[in-house]
Amino acid sequence: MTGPLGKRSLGIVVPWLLPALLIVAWQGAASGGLIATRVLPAPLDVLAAAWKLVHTGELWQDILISTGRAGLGFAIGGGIGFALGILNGVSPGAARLLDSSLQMLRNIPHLALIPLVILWFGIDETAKLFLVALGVFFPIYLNTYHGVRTVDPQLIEMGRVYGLGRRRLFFEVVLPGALPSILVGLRYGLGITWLTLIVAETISASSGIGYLTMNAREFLQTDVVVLGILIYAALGMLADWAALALERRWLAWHPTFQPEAV
Amino acid sequence: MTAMLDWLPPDLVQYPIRTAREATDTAPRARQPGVEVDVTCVAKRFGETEVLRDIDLAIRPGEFVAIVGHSGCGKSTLLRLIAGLEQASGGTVAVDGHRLDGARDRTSDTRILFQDARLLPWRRVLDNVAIGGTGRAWRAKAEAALARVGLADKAEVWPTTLSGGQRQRVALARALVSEPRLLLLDEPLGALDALTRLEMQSLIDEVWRAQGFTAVLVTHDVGEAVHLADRVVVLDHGRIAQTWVIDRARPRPRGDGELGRIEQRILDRLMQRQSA
Repeated sequence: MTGPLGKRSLGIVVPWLLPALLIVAWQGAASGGLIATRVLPAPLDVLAAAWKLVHTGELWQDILISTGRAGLGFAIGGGIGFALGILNGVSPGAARLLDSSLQMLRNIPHLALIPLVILWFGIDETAKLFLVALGVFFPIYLNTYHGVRTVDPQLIEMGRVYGLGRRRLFFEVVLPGALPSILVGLRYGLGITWLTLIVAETISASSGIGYLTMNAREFLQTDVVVLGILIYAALGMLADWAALALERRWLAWHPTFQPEAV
Repeated sequence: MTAMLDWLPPDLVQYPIRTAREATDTAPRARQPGVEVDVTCVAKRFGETEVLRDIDLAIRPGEFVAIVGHSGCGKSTLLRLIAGLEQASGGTVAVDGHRLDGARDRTSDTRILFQDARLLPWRRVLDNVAIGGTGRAWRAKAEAALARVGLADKAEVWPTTLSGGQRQRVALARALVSEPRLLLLDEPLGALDALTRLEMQSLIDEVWRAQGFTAVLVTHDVGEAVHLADRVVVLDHGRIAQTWVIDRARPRPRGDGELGRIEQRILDRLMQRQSA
Protein backbone atom coordinates (compact mmCIF):
# COMPACT_ATOMS: atom_id res chain seq x y z
CA MET A 1 0.00 0.00 0.00
CA THR A 2 2.60 2.53 1.04
CA GLY A 3 4.98 1.25 -1.64
CA PRO A 4 3.92 3.38 -4.61
CA LEU A 5 3.14 6.39 -2.43
CA GLY A 6 6.55 6.26 -0.78
CA LYS A 7 8.16 5.84 -4.17
CA ARG A 8 6.27 8.85 -5.47
CA SER A 9 7.25 11.20 -2.66
CA LEU A 10 10.80 9.92 -3.00
CA GLY A 11 10.60 10.84 -6.70
CA ILE A 12 9.68 14.39 -5.72
CA VAL A 13 12.42 14.67 -3.12
CA VAL A 14 15.32 13.19 -5.07
CA PRO A 15 15.85 16.01 -7.62
CA TRP A 16 16.14 18.51 -4.75
CA LEU A 17 18.72 16.52 -2.80
CA LEU A 18 21.77 17.78 -4.66
CA PRO A 19 20.87 21.49 -4.61
CA ALA A 20 20.04 21.27 -0.90
CA LEU A 21 23.32 19.53 -0.18
CA LEU A 22 25.18 22.16 -2.18
CA ILE A 23 23.59 25.01 -0.22
CA VAL A 24 24.39 23.34 3.08
CA ALA A 25 28.01 22.83 1.98
CA TRP A 26 28.19 26.43 0.77
CA GLN A 27 26.87 27.74 4.09
CA GLY A 28 29.29 25.51 5.98
CA ALA A 29 32.27 26.58 3.90
CA ALA A 30 31.37 30.28 4.23
CA SER A 31 30.78 30.09 8.00
CA GLY A 32 33.92 28.05 8.46
CA GLY A 33 35.93 30.73 6.67
CA LEU A 34 36.87 28.53 3.70
CA ILE A 35 35.36 31.06 1.30
CA ALA A 36 36.00 34.76 1.79
CA THR A 37 32.78 36.82 2.11
CA ARG A 38 34.12 39.14 -0.60
CA VAL A 39 34.20 36.23 -3.03
CA LEU A 40 30.94 34.53 -2.12
CA PRO A 41 28.75 35.47 0.84
CA ALA A 42 27.00 32.74 2.81
CA PRO A 43 23.45 31.83 1.74
CA LEU A 44 22.13 33.22 5.03
CA ASP A 45 23.82 36.55 4.33
CA VAL A 46 22.18 36.67 0.92
CA LEU A 47 18.86 35.94 2.61
CA ALA A 48 19.49 38.73 5.08
CA ALA A 49 20.29 41.15 2.25
CA ALA A 50 17.06 40.15 0.56
CA TRP A 51 15.14 40.71 3.76
CA LYS A 52 16.62 44.19 4.16
CA LEU A 53 15.85 45.20 0.59
CA VAL A 54 12.33 43.84 0.82
CA HIS A 55 11.82 45.95 3.91
CA THR A 56 12.96 49.15 2.28
CA GLY A 57 10.74 48.31 -0.71
CA GLU A 58 13.71 48.72 -3.02
CA LEU A 59 13.66 45.10 -4.15
CA TRP A 60 10.05 45.05 -5.28
CA GLN A 61 10.55 48.30 -7.08
CA ASP A 62 13.49 46.93 -9.04
CA ILE A 63 11.83 43.60 -9.78
CA LEU A 64 8.75 45.42 -11.00
CA ILE A 65 10.78 47.70 -13.27
CA SER A 66 12.81 44.85 -14.75
CA THR A 67 9.75 42.67 -15.27
CA GLY A 68 7.97 45.59 -16.91
CA ARG A 69 10.83 46.10 -19.33
CA ALA A 70 10.98 42.39 -20.10
CA GLY A 71 7.23 42.20 -20.65
CA LEU A 72 7.00 45.28 -22.84
CA GLY A 73 10.06 44.39 -24.93
CA PHE A 74 8.81 40.86 -25.32
CA ALA A 75 5.34 42.02 -26.31
CA ILE A 76 6.70 44.40 -28.96
CA GLY A 77 9.30 42.06 -30.47
CA GLY A 78 7.17 38.96 -30.08
CA GLY A 79 4.09 40.67 -31.47
CA ILE A 80 5.88 41.88 -34.59
CA GLY A 81 7.62 38.53 -35.02
CA PHE A 82 4.35 36.64 -34.64
CA ALA A 83 2.51 38.90 -37.09
CA LEU A 84 5.26 38.69 -39.71
CA GLY A 85 5.59 34.94 -39.22
CA ILE A 86 1.88 34.46 -39.82
CA LEU A 87 1.89 36.84 -42.79
CA ASN A 88 4.84 35.15 -44.48
CA GLY A 89 3.52 31.70 -43.66
CA VAL A 90 0.15 32.40 -45.20
CA SER A 91 1.22 34.52 -48.14
CA PRO A 92 4.00 33.22 -50.40
CA GLY A 93 4.25 36.69 -51.99
CA ALA A 94 5.03 38.34 -48.67
CA ALA A 95 7.49 35.57 -47.84
CA ARG A 96 9.37 36.12 -51.10
CA LEU A 97 9.55 39.82 -50.38
CA LEU A 98 10.51 39.70 -46.71
CA ASP A 99 11.92 36.38 -45.65
CA SER A 100 15.41 36.50 -47.18
CA SER A 101 15.98 40.01 -45.81
CA LEU A 102 14.93 38.90 -42.35
CA GLN A 103 17.14 35.83 -42.58
CA MET A 104 20.08 38.09 -43.36
CA LEU A 105 19.38 40.32 -40.37
CA ARG A 106 19.07 37.27 -38.18
CA ASN A 107 22.77 36.60 -38.51
CA ILE A 108 23.65 39.80 -36.69
CA PRO A 109 23.91 39.01 -32.97
CA HIS A 110 21.61 41.57 -31.43
CA LEU A 111 23.91 42.21 -28.49
CA ALA A 112 26.58 43.32 -30.97
CA LEU A 113 24.35 46.30 -31.66
CA ILE A 114 24.72 47.69 -28.13
CA PRO A 115 27.21 50.44 -29.06
CA LEU A 116 25.04 51.48 -31.97
CA VAL A 117 21.91 51.36 -29.87
CA ILE A 118 23.51 53.59 -27.24
CA LEU A 119 24.45 56.05 -29.97
CA TRP A 120 20.90 56.01 -31.31
CA PHE A 121 18.85 56.05 -28.17
CA GLY A 122 21.28 57.03 -25.42
CA ILE A 123 20.94 54.96 -22.28
CA ASP A 124 17.27 55.47 -21.55
CA GLU A 125 14.36 52.99 -21.65
CA THR A 126 14.08 52.92 -25.44
CA ALA A 127 17.52 51.38 -25.83
CA LYS A 128 16.69 48.49 -23.52
CA LEU A 129 13.27 47.90 -25.03
CA PHE A 130 14.74 47.99 -28.52
CA LEU A 131 17.37 45.41 -27.67
CA VAL A 132 14.92 43.08 -25.97
CA ALA A 133 12.39 43.41 -28.78
CA LEU A 134 15.06 42.74 -31.39
CA GLY A 135 16.34 39.69 -29.54
CA VAL A 136 12.85 38.24 -29.10
CA PHE A 137 11.73 39.00 -32.63
CA PHE A 138 13.75 36.35 -34.43
CA PRO A 139 12.96 33.18 -32.49
CA ILE A 140 9.27 34.04 -32.50
CA TYR A 141 9.26 35.00 -36.17
CA LEU A 142 11.20 31.95 -37.31
CA ASN A 143 9.17 29.46 -35.33
CA THR A 144 5.84 30.99 -36.26
CA TYR A 145 6.78 31.06 -39.94
CA HIS A 146 8.10 27.54 -39.81
CA GLY A 147 5.03 26.36 -37.89
CA VAL A 148 2.57 27.81 -40.38
CA ARG A 149 4.54 26.51 -43.33
CA THR A 150 4.70 22.97 -42.03
CA VAL A 151 1.02 22.53 -41.22
CA ASP A 152 0.00 19.26 -42.87
CA PRO A 153 -1.32 20.23 -46.35
CA GLN A 154 -3.56 17.18 -46.24
CA LEU A 155 -5.38 18.61 -43.24
CA ILE A 156 -5.82 21.91 -45.08
CA GLU A 157 -7.22 20.06 -48.08
CA MET A 158 -9.55 18.16 -45.76
CA GLY A 159 -10.71 21.44 -44.24
CA ARG A 160 -11.51 22.84 -47.67
CA VAL A 161 -13.40 19.71 -48.70
CA TYR A 162 -15.39 19.86 -45.47
CA GLY A 163 -16.53 23.38 -46.16
CA LEU A 164 -14.23 25.58 -44.08
CA GLY A 165 -13.85 29.11 -45.43
CA ARG A 166 -10.53 30.96 -45.31
CA ARG A 167 -11.17 32.40 -41.88
CA ARG A 168 -12.22 29.18 -40.23
CA LEU A 169 -9.48 27.30 -42.06
CA PHE A 170 -6.93 29.64 -40.50
CA PHE A 171 -8.30 29.54 -36.96
CA GLU A 172 -9.28 25.87 -36.88
CA VAL A 173 -6.52 24.22 -38.90
CA VAL A 174 -3.53 26.45 -39.64
CA LEU A 175 -3.09 28.23 -36.30
CA PRO A 176 -3.56 25.16 -34.06
CA GLY A 177 -1.28 23.22 -36.38
CA ALA A 178 1.42 25.85 -36.04
CA LEU A 179 0.98 26.22 -32.29
CA PRO A 180 3.55 23.65 -31.13
CA SER A 181 6.22 25.42 -33.13
CA ILE A 182 5.01 28.86 -32.03
CA LEU A 183 5.26 27.82 -28.40
CA VAL A 184 8.82 26.62 -28.93
CA GLY A 185 9.56 30.10 -30.24
CA LEU A 186 7.85 31.59 -27.22
CA ARG A 187 10.08 29.69 -24.79
CA TYR A 188 13.20 30.59 -26.73
CA GLY A 189 12.06 34.18 -26.86
CA LEU A 190 11.49 34.33 -23.10
CA GLY A 191 14.99 33.03 -22.47
CA ILE A 192 16.46 35.66 -24.77
CA THR A 193 14.36 38.36 -23.14
CA TRP A 194 16.00 37.89 -19.74
CA LEU A 195 19.45 37.40 -21.20
CA THR A 196 19.21 40.62 -23.19
CA LEU A 197 17.73 42.53 -20.28
CA ILE A 198 20.54 41.48 -17.95
CA VAL A 199 23.15 42.71 -20.40
CA ALA A 200 21.28 45.92 -21.16
CA GLU A 201 20.61 46.75 -17.49
CA THR A 202 24.15 45.95 -16.47
CA ILE A 203 25.61 48.27 -19.06
CA SER A 204 23.34 51.22 -18.54
CA ALA A 205 20.49 51.66 -16.15
CA SER A 206 19.37 53.78 -13.27
CA SER A 207 16.82 51.30 -12.01
CA GLY A 208 16.02 47.60 -12.17
CA ILE A 209 17.80 44.47 -10.97
CA GLY A 210 20.81 45.15 -13.18
CA TYR A 211 21.22 48.58 -11.65
CA LEU A 212 20.81 47.06 -8.18
CA THR A 213 23.64 44.61 -8.73
CA MET A 214 25.98 47.07 -10.45
CA ASN A 215 25.40 49.57 -7.70
CA ALA A 216 26.10 46.92 -5.07
CA ARG A 217 29.31 46.01 -6.89
CA GLU A 218 30.60 49.54 -6.44
CA PHE A 219 29.99 49.30 -2.71
CA LEU A 220 31.42 45.78 -2.59
CA GLN A 221 28.10 44.36 -1.40
CA THR A 222 28.68 40.88 -2.72
CA ASP A 223 25.55 39.58 -1.00
CA VAL A 224 23.35 41.95 -3.00
CA VAL A 225 25.16 41.03 -6.23
CA VAL A 226 24.51 37.34 -5.60
CA LEU A 227 20.91 38.18 -4.71
CA GLY A 228 20.47 40.00 -8.03
CA ILE A 229 21.82 37.03 -9.94
CA LEU A 230 19.47 34.68 -8.08
CA ILE A 231 16.51 36.96 -8.79
CA TYR A 232 17.32 36.97 -12.49
CA ALA A 233 17.44 33.18 -12.39
CA ALA A 234 14.13 33.00 -10.54
CA LEU A 235 12.42 35.39 -12.95
CA GLY A 236 13.71 33.45 -15.94
CA MET A 237 12.47 30.24 -14.38
CA LEU A 238 9.06 31.72 -13.66
CA ALA A 239 8.75 32.83 -17.27
CA ASP A 240 9.69 29.36 -18.45
CA TRP A 241 7.14 27.79 -16.14
CA ALA A 242 4.48 30.10 -17.49
CA ALA A 243 5.38 29.04 -21.03
CA LEU A 244 5.26 25.40 -20.00
CA ALA A 245 1.86 25.90 -18.41
CA LEU A 246 0.62 27.42 -21.67
CA GLU A 247 1.99 24.43 -23.55
CA ARG A 248 0.19 22.04 -21.20
CA ARG A 249 -3.01 23.93 -21.70
CA TRP A 250 -2.89 24.56 -25.43
CA LEU A 251 -1.20 21.36 -26.47
CA ALA A 252 -3.23 19.05 -24.27
CA TRP A 253 -4.05 17.12 -27.44
CA HIS A 254 -0.39 16.48 -28.18
CA PRO A 255 0.78 12.92 -27.46
CA THR A 256 3.60 14.35 -25.32
CA PHE A 257 1.11 15.77 -22.86
CA GLN A 258 -1.22 12.83 -22.63
CA PRO A 259 -0.91 10.79 -19.46
CA GLU A 260 -1.09 7.49 -21.30
CA ALA A 261 -2.55 6.32 -24.55
CA VAL A 262 -5.34 3.81 -24.06
CA MET B 1 -37.12 20.84 -71.21
CA THR B 2 -34.14 23.16 -71.15
CA ALA B 3 -34.54 23.71 -74.89
CA MET B 4 -38.07 24.93 -74.30
CA LEU B 5 -36.83 27.45 -71.76
CA ASP B 6 -34.00 28.73 -73.94
CA TRP B 7 -35.53 32.17 -74.26
CA LEU B 8 -35.51 32.74 -70.50
CA PRO B 9 -32.53 34.40 -68.81
CA PRO B 10 -30.23 31.69 -67.48
CA ASP B 11 -30.84 32.34 -63.80
CA LEU B 12 -34.57 31.89 -64.32
CA VAL B 13 -33.97 28.59 -66.04
CA GLN B 14 -32.16 27.45 -62.94
CA TYR B 15 -34.87 28.67 -60.66
CA PRO B 16 -37.17 25.66 -60.53
CA ILE B 17 -34.25 23.31 -60.10
CA ARG B 18 -32.94 25.34 -57.17
CA THR B 19 -36.22 25.47 -55.31
CA ALA B 20 -36.52 21.76 -55.61
CA ARG B 21 -33.06 21.37 -54.13
CA GLU B 22 -33.70 23.79 -51.29
CA ALA B 23 -36.90 22.03 -50.43
CA THR B 24 -35.10 18.73 -50.09
CA ASP B 25 -32.31 20.39 -48.12
CA THR B 26 -34.52 21.79 -45.41
CA ALA B 27 -37.10 19.05 -45.16
CA PRO B 28 -36.16 16.29 -42.75
CA ARG B 29 -35.85 13.03 -44.60
CA ALA B 30 -34.62 9.58 -43.89
CA ARG B 31 -33.31 8.84 -47.34
CA GLN B 32 -31.50 11.38 -49.44
CA PRO B 33 -31.16 10.69 -53.12
CA GLY B 34 -27.67 10.62 -54.50
CA VAL B 35 -26.38 12.83 -57.27
CA GLU B 36 -25.57 11.97 -60.82
CA VAL B 37 -21.94 12.14 -61.92
CA ASP B 38 -20.98 12.59 -65.55
CA VAL B 39 -17.40 12.22 -66.65
CA THR B 40 -17.15 12.92 -70.34
CA CYS B 41 -14.06 12.42 -72.48
CA VAL B 42 -11.80 13.46 -69.61
CA ALA B 43 -8.04 13.67 -69.91
CA LYS B 44 -5.59 14.72 -67.23
CA ARG B 45 -1.96 15.59 -67.74
CA PHE B 46 0.66 16.57 -65.19
CA GLY B 47 3.24 18.33 -67.32
CA GLU B 48 4.34 15.78 -69.89
CA THR B 49 2.82 12.71 -68.31
CA GLU B 50 -0.68 11.81 -69.30
CA VAL B 51 -2.39 10.24 -66.30
CA LEU B 52 -5.91 9.84 -67.71
CA ARG B 53 -7.35 9.88 -71.20
CA ASP B 54 -10.70 9.28 -72.88
CA ILE B 55 -12.47 8.60 -69.62
CA ASP B 56 -16.23 8.34 -70.03
CA LEU B 57 -18.09 7.38 -66.94
CA ALA B 58 -21.73 8.07 -66.16
CA ILE B 59 -22.77 7.30 -62.62
CA ARG B 60 -26.46 7.05 -61.78
CA PRO B 61 -27.83 8.72 -58.66
CA GLY B 62 -27.37 6.39 -55.74
CA GLU B 63 -25.06 4.03 -57.59
CA PHE B 64 -21.99 2.49 -55.93
CA VAL B 65 -19.10 2.46 -58.36
CA ALA B 66 -15.68 1.02 -57.57
CA ILE B 67 -12.57 1.89 -59.53
CA VAL B 68 -9.74 -0.63 -59.38
CA GLY B 69 -6.35 -0.78 -60.99
CA HIS B 70 -2.62 -0.89 -60.38
CA SER B 71 -0.95 1.83 -58.37
CA GLY B 72 -0.31 4.78 -60.62
CA CYS B 73 -3.07 3.87 -63.07
CA GLY B 74 -4.76 7.20 -62.37
CA LYS B 75 -7.63 5.99 -60.22
CA SER B 76 -6.99 8.43 -57.39
CA THR B 77 -6.62 11.26 -59.89
CA LEU B 78 -10.01 10.39 -61.37
CA LEU B 79 -11.52 10.57 -57.90
CA ARG B 80 -9.86 13.94 -57.23
CA LEU B 81 -11.29 15.22 -60.51
CA ILE B 82 -14.78 14.22 -59.44
CA ALA B 83 -14.11 15.86 -56.05
CA GLY B 84 -13.12 19.07 -57.78
CA LEU B 85 -9.67 18.94 -56.16
CA GLU B 86 -8.02 18.75 -59.57
CA GLN B 87 -9.08 20.18 -62.88
CA ALA B 88 -9.34 18.11 -66.02
CA SER B 89 -6.93 18.94 -68.83
CA GLY B 90 -9.64 18.00 -71.31
CA GLY B 91 -13.28 16.95 -71.25
CA THR B 92 -15.81 17.73 -68.56
CA VAL B 93 -16.78 16.49 -65.14
CA ALA B 94 -20.30 17.28 -64.03
CA VAL B 95 -21.80 16.54 -60.64
CA ASP B 96 -25.56 16.86 -60.30
CA GLY B 97 -25.67 18.59 -63.66
CA HIS B 98 -23.18 21.28 -62.61
CA ARG B 99 -19.94 21.35 -64.50
CA LEU B 100 -16.90 21.52 -62.23
CA ASP B 101 -14.76 24.31 -63.59
CA GLY B 102 -12.47 25.13 -60.70
CA ALA B 103 -14.23 28.30 -59.60
CA ARG B 104 -17.14 27.08 -57.51
CA ASP B 105 -16.27 23.47 -57.65
CA ARG B 106 -16.99 22.03 -54.24
CA THR B 107 -20.44 21.77 -52.81
CA SER B 108 -21.53 20.65 -49.40
CA ASP B 109 -23.03 17.68 -51.21
CA THR B 110 -19.68 16.05 -51.78
CA ARG B 111 -17.61 14.47 -49.04
CA ILE B 112 -14.37 12.53 -49.25
CA LEU B 113 -13.06 9.73 -47.10
CA PHE B 114 -9.29 9.86 -47.48
CA GLN B 115 -6.83 7.03 -47.13
CA ASP B 116 -5.61 8.45 -43.84
CA ALA B 117 -8.38 9.68 -41.60
CA ARG B 118 -7.07 13.28 -41.57
CA LEU B 119 -8.54 14.08 -38.19
CA LEU B 120 -7.42 17.30 -36.56
CA PRO B 121 -5.32 16.09 -33.62
CA TRP B 122 -6.13 19.23 -31.61
CA ARG B 123 -9.85 18.66 -31.61
CA ARG B 124 -11.67 16.02 -29.64
CA VAL B 125 -13.41 13.32 -31.62
CA LEU B 126 -16.85 14.91 -31.57
CA ASP B 127 -15.43 18.31 -32.58
CA ASN B 128 -13.70 16.59 -35.47
CA VAL B 129 -16.95 15.06 -36.61
CA ALA B 130 -18.70 18.42 -36.29
CA ILE B 131 -16.15 20.28 -38.43
CA GLY B 132 -17.51 22.73 -40.96
CA GLY B 133 -20.76 23.51 -39.17
CA THR B 134 -21.88 25.45 -36.12
CA GLY B 135 -24.75 25.44 -33.73
CA ARG B 136 -26.52 23.00 -31.51
CA ALA B 137 -28.47 21.27 -34.28
CA TRP B 138 -25.27 20.53 -36.17
CA ARG B 139 -23.68 19.18 -33.03
CA ALA B 140 -26.62 16.89 -32.43
CA LYS B 141 -26.21 15.61 -35.97
CA ALA B 142 -22.53 15.02 -35.33
CA GLU B 143 -23.38 13.06 -32.20
CA ALA B 144 -25.86 10.98 -34.16
CA ALA B 145 -23.28 10.31 -36.89
CA LEU B 146 -20.74 9.25 -34.29
CA ALA B 147 -23.27 6.91 -32.73
CA ARG B 148 -24.01 5.58 -36.23
CA VAL B 149 -20.43 4.35 -36.56
CA GLY B 150 -20.50 2.95 -33.02
CA LEU B 151 -18.15 5.40 -31.33
CA ALA B 152 -20.54 7.48 -29.25
CA ASP B 153 -18.48 6.71 -26.14
CA LYS B 154 -15.34 8.19 -27.72
CA ALA B 155 -16.83 11.64 -28.30
CA GLU B 156 -14.57 13.41 -25.82
CA VAL B 157 -11.23 11.69 -26.38
CA TRP B 158 -8.31 12.95 -28.46
CA PRO B 159 -7.97 11.35 -31.93
CA THR B 160 -4.37 10.29 -31.22
CA THR B 161 -5.61 7.79 -28.67
CA LEU B 162 -7.76 5.94 -31.22
CA SER B 163 -6.77 2.90 -33.27
CA GLY B 164 -6.49 3.17 -37.05
CA GLY B 165 -9.87 1.55 -37.59
CA GLN B 166 -11.55 3.80 -35.04
CA ARG B 167 -10.01 6.87 -36.67
CA GLN B 168 -11.36 5.84 -40.04
CA ARG B 169 -14.78 5.33 -38.49
CA VAL B 170 -14.64 8.83 -37.05
CA ALA B 171 -13.73 10.09 -40.53
CA LEU B 172 -16.74 8.26 -41.92
CA ALA B 173 -18.97 9.87 -39.29
CA ARG B 174 -17.53 13.27 -40.20
CA ALA B 175 -18.41 12.62 -43.84
CA LEU B 176 -21.95 11.60 -42.95
CA VAL B 177 -22.90 14.60 -40.78
CA SER B 178 -23.78 16.79 -43.73
CA GLU B 179 -25.81 13.97 -45.31
CA PRO B 180 -23.72 14.01 -48.48
CA ARG B 181 -25.24 13.15 -51.80
CA LEU B 182 -21.90 12.03 -53.17
CA LEU B 183 -19.35 10.17 -51.07
CA LEU B 184 -15.91 9.66 -52.55
CA LEU B 185 -13.76 6.99 -50.93
CA ASP B 186 -10.06 7.21 -51.72
CA GLU B 187 -8.68 3.83 -50.60
CA PRO B 188 -10.01 4.52 -47.13
CA LEU B 189 -9.39 1.01 -45.87
CA GLY B 190 -5.95 0.49 -47.41
CA ALA B 191 -4.05 0.98 -44.18
CA LEU B 192 -6.29 -1.14 -41.96
CA ASP B 193 -5.76 -4.72 -40.84
CA ALA B 194 -7.81 -7.40 -42.59
CA LEU B 195 -10.43 -7.89 -39.89
CA THR B 196 -11.04 -4.18 -39.33
CA ARG B 197 -11.27 -3.78 -43.07
CA LEU B 198 -14.10 -6.31 -43.32
CA GLU B 199 -15.96 -4.55 -40.49
CA MET B 200 -15.54 -1.20 -42.19
CA GLN B 201 -16.78 -2.63 -45.49
CA SER B 202 -19.97 -3.84 -43.82
CA LEU B 203 -20.41 -0.47 -42.15
CA ILE B 204 -19.97 1.42 -45.43
CA ASP B 205 -22.40 -0.92 -47.17
CA GLU B 206 -24.94 -0.45 -44.38
CA VAL B 207 -24.67 3.33 -44.37
CA TRP B 208 -24.84 3.53 -48.13
CA ARG B 209 -27.99 1.40 -48.23
CA ALA B 210 -29.58 3.48 -45.49
CA GLN B 211 -28.78 6.91 -46.93
CA GLY B 212 -28.79 6.28 -50.66
CA PHE B 213 -25.96 8.61 -51.62
CA THR B 214 -23.88 8.06 -54.72
CA ALA B 215 -20.58 6.40 -53.84
CA VAL B 216 -17.33 6.18 -55.76
CA LEU B 217 -14.72 3.91 -54.22
CA VAL B 218 -11.13 3.82 -55.34
CA THR B 219 -9.34 0.69 -54.15
CA HIS B 220 -6.63 -1.76 -55.05
CA ASP B 221 -8.49 -4.51 -53.22
CA VAL B 222 -10.56 -6.22 -55.93
CA GLY B 223 -12.43 -8.28 -53.35
CA GLU B 224 -13.52 -5.11 -51.61
CA ALA B 225 -14.66 -3.58 -54.89
CA VAL B 226 -16.68 -6.64 -55.83
CA HIS B 227 -18.19 -6.90 -52.37
CA LEU B 228 -19.40 -3.30 -52.24
CA ALA B 229 -20.01 -1.98 -55.74
CA ASP B 230 -22.85 -2.11 -58.24
CA ARG B 231 -20.28 -1.61 -60.94
CA VAL B 232 -16.55 -2.19 -60.99
CA VAL B 233 -14.47 -0.14 -63.39
CA VAL B 234 -11.01 -1.48 -64.20
CA LEU B 235 -8.58 1.29 -65.01
CA ASP B 236 -5.39 0.53 -66.89
CA HIS B 237 -2.78 3.01 -68.09
CA GLY B 238 -5.18 5.89 -67.66
CA ARG B 239 -8.02 4.33 -69.63
CA ILE B 240 -11.06 2.33 -68.70
CA ALA B 241 -10.18 -1.24 -69.63
CA GLN B 242 -13.23 -3.09 -68.38
CA THR B 243 -16.52 -2.54 -66.66
CA TRP B 244 -18.28 -5.17 -64.57
CA VAL B 245 -21.86 -4.87 -63.45
CA ILE B 246 -22.48 -6.72 -60.20
CA ASP B 247 -26.12 -7.12 -59.33
CA ARG B 248 -26.00 -9.47 -56.38
CA ALA B 249 -28.42 -8.87 -53.53
CA ARG B 250 -27.19 -7.08 -50.43
CA PRO B 251 -25.87 -7.54 -47.89
CA ARG B 252 -23.57 -9.77 -49.84
CA PRO B 253 -22.30 -12.81 -47.96
CA ARG B 254 -18.56 -13.38 -47.76
CA GLY B 255 -17.37 -16.25 -49.90
CA ASP B 256 -20.15 -15.90 -52.47
CA GLY B 257 -19.17 -18.08 -55.44
CA GLU B 258 -20.34 -15.76 -58.19
CA LEU B 259 -18.59 -12.76 -56.64
CA GLY B 260 -15.47 -14.86 -56.26
CA ARG B 261 -15.51 -15.71 -59.97
CA ILE B 262 -15.87 -12.06 -60.96
CA GLU B 263 -13.06 -11.11 -58.59
CA GLN B 264 -10.85 -13.80 -60.12
CA ARG B 265 -11.51 -12.57 -63.64
CA ILE B 266 -10.76 -8.97 -62.75
CA LEU B 267 -7.56 -10.09 -61.05
CA ASP B 268 -6.66 -12.13 -64.15
CA ARG B 269 -7.10 -9.05 -66.27
CA LEU B 270 -4.89 -7.00 -63.97
CA MET B 271 -2.21 -9.69 -63.67
CA GLN B 272 -2.18 -10.32 -67.40
CA ARG B 273 -1.25 -6.72 -67.92
CA GLN B 274 1.63 -7.13 -65.54
CA SER B 275 3.00 -10.29 -67.14
CA ALA B 276 2.65 -8.89 -70.65
